[in-house]
Amino acid sequence: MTTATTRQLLDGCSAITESAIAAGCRFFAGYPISPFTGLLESMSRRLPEAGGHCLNAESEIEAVNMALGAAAAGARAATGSCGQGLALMQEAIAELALNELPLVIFNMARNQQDYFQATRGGGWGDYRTLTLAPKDVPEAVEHTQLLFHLADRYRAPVMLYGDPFIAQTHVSVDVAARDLGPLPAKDWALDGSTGGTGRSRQIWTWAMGKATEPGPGPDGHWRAVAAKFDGIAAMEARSETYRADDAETLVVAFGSAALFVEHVVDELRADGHRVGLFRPVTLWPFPADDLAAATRNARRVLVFELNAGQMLDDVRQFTHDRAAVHFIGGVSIHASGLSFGPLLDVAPIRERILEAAE
Amino acid sequence: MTEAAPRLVARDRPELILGDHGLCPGCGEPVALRILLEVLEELGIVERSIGVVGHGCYGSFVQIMDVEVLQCLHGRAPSCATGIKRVRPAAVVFTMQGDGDMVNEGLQEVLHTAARGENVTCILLNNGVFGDTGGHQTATTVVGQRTKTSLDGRDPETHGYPIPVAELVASLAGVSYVARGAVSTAGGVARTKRMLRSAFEHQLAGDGFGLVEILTMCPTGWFVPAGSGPEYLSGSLEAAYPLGELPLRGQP
Amino acid sequence: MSRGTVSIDVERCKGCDLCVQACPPKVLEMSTEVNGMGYRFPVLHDGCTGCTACQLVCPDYVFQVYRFDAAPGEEDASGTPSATPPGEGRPSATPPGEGRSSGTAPGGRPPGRAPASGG
Repeated sequence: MTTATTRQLLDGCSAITESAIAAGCRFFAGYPISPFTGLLESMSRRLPEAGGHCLNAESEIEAVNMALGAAAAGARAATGSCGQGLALMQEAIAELALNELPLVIFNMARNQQDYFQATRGGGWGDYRTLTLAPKDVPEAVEHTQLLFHLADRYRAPVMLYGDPFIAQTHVSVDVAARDLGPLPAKDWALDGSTGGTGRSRQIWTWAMGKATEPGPGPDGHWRAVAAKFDGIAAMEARSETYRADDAETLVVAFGSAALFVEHVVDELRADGHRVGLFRPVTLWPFPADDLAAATRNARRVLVFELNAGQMLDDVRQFTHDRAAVHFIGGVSIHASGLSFGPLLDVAPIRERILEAAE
Repeated sequence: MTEAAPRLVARDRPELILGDHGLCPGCGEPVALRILLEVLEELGIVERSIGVVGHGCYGSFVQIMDVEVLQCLHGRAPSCATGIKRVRPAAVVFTMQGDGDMVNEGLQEVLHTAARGENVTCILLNNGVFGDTGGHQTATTVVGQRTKTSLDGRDPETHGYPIPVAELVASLAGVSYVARGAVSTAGGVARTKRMLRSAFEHQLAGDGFGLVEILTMCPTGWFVPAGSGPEYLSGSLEAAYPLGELPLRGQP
Repeated sequence: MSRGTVSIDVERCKGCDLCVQACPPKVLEMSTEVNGMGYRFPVLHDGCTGCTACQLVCPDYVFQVYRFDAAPGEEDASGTPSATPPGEGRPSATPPGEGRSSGTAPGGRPPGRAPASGG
């Protein structure tokens, strides 16, 4: 007797699409940019079949503002891009945060050079962007549904930090809908119905309310939003360790880089080295307490990321003086400019860990 | 002899206006707001309406209009309106934007939304100046018009030419109604109100994109006395922006 | 005689003068006094037709406009002369409503003003 399965062999973009649809996403807008384009293509194909709308917008700015409108009207909405396109979306991401609107942003990044962009944000005002960095397609599928849930729970834009391997690798995944618990009704969402009642809904970053019912204004509202992000920081940090309990050398890596480091850890352990991996799953909030625990007994902390040193700042800050922190990563870009370069490989990673451990 | 009974023929303002605005003496924007809300009331669509308001002096109308509103980023209202209308097709969705908002920052957004034939109504309050920032040149400032960034008057050699966005929109397929009115005279106000009504009727019929451009007085931004707004408007803006319903040239 | 009248919320007025310019029979004139904001405001003289031009152009929503309908047995107000010659003691109706002033001058009283409302 066979049982029906929701497992499918899918490339990452298609898998994320199915997971988003399972989560109830019914509006997507995007602009082609590699390696995000596959997500726009699969959404274009599948979202109308699921009763939703997918718009190939005329610019990234239009895409994110269309999605903002859909979110304001109460839909589960998403957009995405990478690096340069996300740079164009920064104003709107801040606007979403300060408007307290939920949106899932799929950052199918070309490399790991946009850690600062994701975690510090280039928009205006006091806001943060909850960012999950999956290490592979199955985790990206899981994160997708979690992100739609968290976006609605906290009424904020949230981000998935993907990469070219996650976007394009085919993996067998289960894209069934997951029940992540109840959420409050979106009674703040615009549908026209409170027009003429004297209490018509208003979505405004300055939150000044109506003449008949003044709101908290920018001071009160922005303080409340900042406090909300403080609360998210306290509740939503996530991380994973791999063979780190007795590690003398702790390597910190995120995303696909962490997958490679896991493999190298196994090789080095087989040779008798006490090395382990600490993997931030949320880039923001950075899992500071977990890192503190993981570095308690380490002599050295090695940061491996494919950039000039961005997560390095967070690792240094949160390791304090418990252990020496060294950077073993670097900028390493494929000749096409669209993917990782030769540093993302077992041999160079192994070599750099051993060199730092001497 | 009996006294004739007075019959109210025109209210000061609809109940949808919740309070006083703080805009300048002689500003045309509050007139545009009033006729817009009167039209929504008369069409019986207030409880379906969602406005997307940009940034400008009119931005403060968000506090006094008793209609659901999303206040959005400068220039982006047509994109936000697209998202709202796609997920709530039964809503009546309109934008309210100034010339700086729509024709400077947001020219791409309004043209693409029009060409896509989104079933929304965009309303342009055009006074040829960035009033809210203190009186600076926009893409619709007319040749010869003085602003703080065109102190000797807009000069084509240095500042180029104004952009007639209504004519651009009217050249696109996907558009169902484009009109330009002015609130500088009583007749103009009445005609502009009829234009707004027609535009919303097109949205209700699902015909595609509509744009109503409303020339408004900005005596402060024009450096003229409050009472000289209408005269300046008819002498300067109307020459560059002819009034009336525009023929739609983009139909296949 | 007046076929119509208006009530004028003088405290809302910002003295822009657009109503004076728009009025076809030219029965509005700016006051010499000022309101709480320091602006002069319109005063109504006889001859209003209730055409609503002032209400249409006013940016501050100052005007409510009324027309006089004929009482039973009389000619209606749309153009037929009344039985009473103009200026002979027939008061212009003061429409109801607090905080408002009619610009007309019934029975020799000077144009009224809305009581100071502190708003």
